[in-house]
Amino acid sequence: MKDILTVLKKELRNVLKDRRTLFMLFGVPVIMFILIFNVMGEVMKTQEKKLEETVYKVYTNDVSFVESAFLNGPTKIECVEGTPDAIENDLRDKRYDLAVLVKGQIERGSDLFLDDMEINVYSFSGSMASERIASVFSFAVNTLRDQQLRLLLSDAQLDAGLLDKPRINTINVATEQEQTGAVFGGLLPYMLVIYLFTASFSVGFDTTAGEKERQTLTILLANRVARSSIAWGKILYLMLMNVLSATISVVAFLFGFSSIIPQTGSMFTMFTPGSAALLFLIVLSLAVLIAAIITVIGIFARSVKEATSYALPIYVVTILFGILGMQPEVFDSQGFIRFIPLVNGVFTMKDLVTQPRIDFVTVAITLVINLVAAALLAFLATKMFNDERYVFRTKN
Amino acid sequence: MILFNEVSKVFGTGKKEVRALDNVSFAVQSGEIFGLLGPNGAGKTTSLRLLSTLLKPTNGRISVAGLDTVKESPKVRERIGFLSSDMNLSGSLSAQELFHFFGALNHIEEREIVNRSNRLIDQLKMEDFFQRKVETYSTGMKQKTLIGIALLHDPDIIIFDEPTNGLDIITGRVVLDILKSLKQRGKTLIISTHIMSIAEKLCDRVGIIHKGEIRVIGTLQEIYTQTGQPDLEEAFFSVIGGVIEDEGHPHRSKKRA
Repeated sequence: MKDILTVLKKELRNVLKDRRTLFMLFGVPVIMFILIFNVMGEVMKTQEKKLEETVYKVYTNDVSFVESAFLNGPTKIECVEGTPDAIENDLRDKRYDLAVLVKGQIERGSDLFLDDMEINVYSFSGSMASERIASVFSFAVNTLRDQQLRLLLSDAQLDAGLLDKPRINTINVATEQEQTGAVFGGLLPYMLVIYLFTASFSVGFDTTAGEKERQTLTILLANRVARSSIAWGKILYLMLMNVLSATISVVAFLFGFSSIIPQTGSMFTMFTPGSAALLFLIVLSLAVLIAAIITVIGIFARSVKEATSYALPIYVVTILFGILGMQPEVFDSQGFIRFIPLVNGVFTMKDLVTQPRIDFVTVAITLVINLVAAALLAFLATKMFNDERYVFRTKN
Repeated sequence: MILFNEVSKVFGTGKKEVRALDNVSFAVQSGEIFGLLGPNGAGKTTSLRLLSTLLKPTNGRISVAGLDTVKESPKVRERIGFLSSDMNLSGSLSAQELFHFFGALNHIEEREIVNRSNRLIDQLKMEDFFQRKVETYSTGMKQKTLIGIALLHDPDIIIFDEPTNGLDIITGRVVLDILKSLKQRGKTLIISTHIMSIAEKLCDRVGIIHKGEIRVIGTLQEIYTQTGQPDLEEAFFSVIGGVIEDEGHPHRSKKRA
């Protein structure tokens, strides 16, 4: 154990002197997340303000009808000239935001729609303004129609309240925190897996394949220290860097996330000390497993470049599961998925964040499977460290 | 005592098979300086890597003070200090930090690491760069640091593969002085070199290796007598037939009679 800690300390001392790597591991995620979310928030606010202040250009063959639809709303429009044949191109060229072609006419005087009246609304989904005005217009026309129907019912001495029947009350039992948790719970495993891998890629391959490439491993192997201690020292180092990087990334992600969704902070009331501890254990098991995977690949590969090419498919598959994990109930986290190392962690973490009840069996299975897989890989890594075919397998 | 007993080393398999050492046997006595001479690709580095437990023999057995290099490799490594021409150092650390790291790995107490480091700094003339990062070192500085690391745990057996390779004349002299002082302290040294003058100045006995086989072995006088040549350089060329193999490419595996 003493030798393992000596190797670990040396690796840490090495990386602590490497400011560039430290910045990439810990500085970049902080800057990136806070910057990205703040910029996103600002862009969204600016966009919203701009859409509110925009005077939308509308081409129509019935100006009075279109103007009457927007009469009572806050949206400002300006009717412009156009031709029916050029609508598609004009919308794409943003000469106007909306085209409304009316067949038939409102019965003047009574403001009633005729039975055979047809309204074609043209918009271009590539433009936010076009989408916005199309939706506002549809809403305005529907409101206009409801008003008229109410008048008709009233004239016929029927209850206008018939229009509101049956009353449908949709009640979401999820609290505000839980709704935010669902979004966050989908993103969290994804972000964690990305950063556990990212940290491993830079420092893990440097300390294995990189050392082989730079020929700095030989001096260590020629020393009295057991090869298994070298392997474990490197795995522990990687694990530590993974956990630190992932933790910092998640904190930075939360700060950024809460800047656009203010309820994020209150979401933590969902966590009990127990669920937070379990979440940390799952992260730890993933960190150990990824560290072991990267160590095995790093020892096998002849160079950092080769190691990266071997690891990318595993990374991509895991990210794919991370993305699938964002969708609700794509996989049953209590089904076969909990027996697949690495992937099971993605789904269990999601459950811990989004589900009110903890499934201890699934958490236990996830931990055991990942730790057993990590132990097997670590054993393999120590065997490979003892095998000259791998430790001296270089491009030189 | 170091004993190579019918040692062979084969790299790769099938068509890619390379026989780097072929049935090599020799012994090195305690307190002796043994020089392993040979052209590039002759099997010098492979022999020393086998001895330092970095590689395992395909056939045969190597023992160091009665310890088997395969079965008791950690114990063997405790007794040896190894320097190879293809070793490098981690760039972010200083020689001081590396001495402390390797000292700790050898379970040397902190105070003793400092004492030994100070002695090595004097011997190797490292005071100007000891605390600087390795990435700022010249080739000579790196070599001195590697030698320091190899000697830090005060091993009985020192294995240096091309210790003066790439060094300027001043640093080369420092290294030779170190080797002489180690000899005076009764250490066993095995060095590989292709600089004949170094072997002539330092070695008690010499073995000339060529195409994975030890061709001649003995004291300098015995080598001269066996080859009928007046000096080591002439003896060397007479043994290898005046032909130098391609750099770093041992012969293909075709067992010679």
